[in-house]
Amino acid sequence: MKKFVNISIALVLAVCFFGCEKDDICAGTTPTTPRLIIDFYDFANQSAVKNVTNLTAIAEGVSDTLVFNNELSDSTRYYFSGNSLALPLNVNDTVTKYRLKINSQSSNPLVFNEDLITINYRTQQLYVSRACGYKTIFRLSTITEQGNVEDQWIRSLLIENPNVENENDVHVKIFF
Amino acid sequence: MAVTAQEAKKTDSIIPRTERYGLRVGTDLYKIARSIYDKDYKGFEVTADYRYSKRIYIAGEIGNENKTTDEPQLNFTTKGTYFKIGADYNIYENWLDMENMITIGARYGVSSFSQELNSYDIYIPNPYFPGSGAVTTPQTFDGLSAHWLELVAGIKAEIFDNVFLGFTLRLNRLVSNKKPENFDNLYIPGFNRTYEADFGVGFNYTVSYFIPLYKKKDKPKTEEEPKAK
Repeated sequence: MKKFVNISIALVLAVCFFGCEKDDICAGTTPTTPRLIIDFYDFANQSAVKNVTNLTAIAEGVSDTLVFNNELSDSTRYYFSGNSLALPLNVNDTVTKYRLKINSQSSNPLVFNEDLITINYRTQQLYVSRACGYKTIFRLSTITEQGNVEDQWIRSLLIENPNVENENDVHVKIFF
Repeated sequence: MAVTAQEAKKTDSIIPRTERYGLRVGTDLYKIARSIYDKDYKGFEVTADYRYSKRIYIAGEIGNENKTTDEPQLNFTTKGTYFKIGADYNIYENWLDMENMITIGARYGVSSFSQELNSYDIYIPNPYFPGSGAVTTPQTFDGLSAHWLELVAGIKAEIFDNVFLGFTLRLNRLVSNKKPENFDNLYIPGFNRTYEADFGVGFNYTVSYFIPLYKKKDKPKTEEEPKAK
């Protein structure tokens, strides 16, 4: 009878052990909704990458400027410098418009300027996992720019890969 | 004391034990209780076993579940019926005419079910746009099924005449799993929660009633011929 009781207790304890599963958390390494990857190239020499300096981005309909560096607390968190930019697209719409401004830190009005780019796309929801739920992938249809003709900094835009499914590919090239 | 025990054993080996054979029918108390306290769960399970030989019992379960699972990114309702068939082997040596059991066994389980995706969230690692990526248009996925194997460890104790309380613990492994398109079977009736690997766990607390059908004399354990009565 003692053996019977011991085995009974062991079984009940085993259930408690299995019951205490940890909550699933969506791991940062899991590919989820991708951002649009834009690479910058030199307009004069179109095979050469060219860095932008202190670029800021703000989407139409959003009051806050896009933060590029969450770890910073001062205004430099809004500045991007480099040749490969990642912009989030609005998953609840099929068009996202960004105002892209370069040399934002300069006080010389002849140096900084702002262009509006319009990205049109279709969305598709894909199941990822229990912890992450779904992700949205995008298929780009058009990308255009508007700005004052005399101070446009973007000279031309090109869709390099219309399928925005991950952040490893370059989707758009901007020449300036 | 020792002498008495030895004598008792001696007597026991001379008079063959009479073992009862029959059908035991029960229900899972956990599923009934959970149906009462958990508004997102309705479930019922009928269990049965038939004593095939001294130690082997043909065993099975049939049940129905309706469970809504709420995850941070997903909310879905699983509805379906399952059936499990297999056998239990009693490893417990009873005293006198006791009929308690410690069993190990196996089952083959089949479930037919549907998943209703009530709402889901689009996971956005770096949110910028106002409003969440929540989608609340329900989608139903019908005609789903799964097959699996279970390893079962259990106990049963007779608490009153013919009334048994039991508990089993199960380790499950999926054999086949028909998943919905662009979703997953995160819960399978009878199998329970699924994991990324094909394994799962389950348990039940049963109360069951033994219906005796016939009696059979157990073979004596000593090499001596049993005395004729």
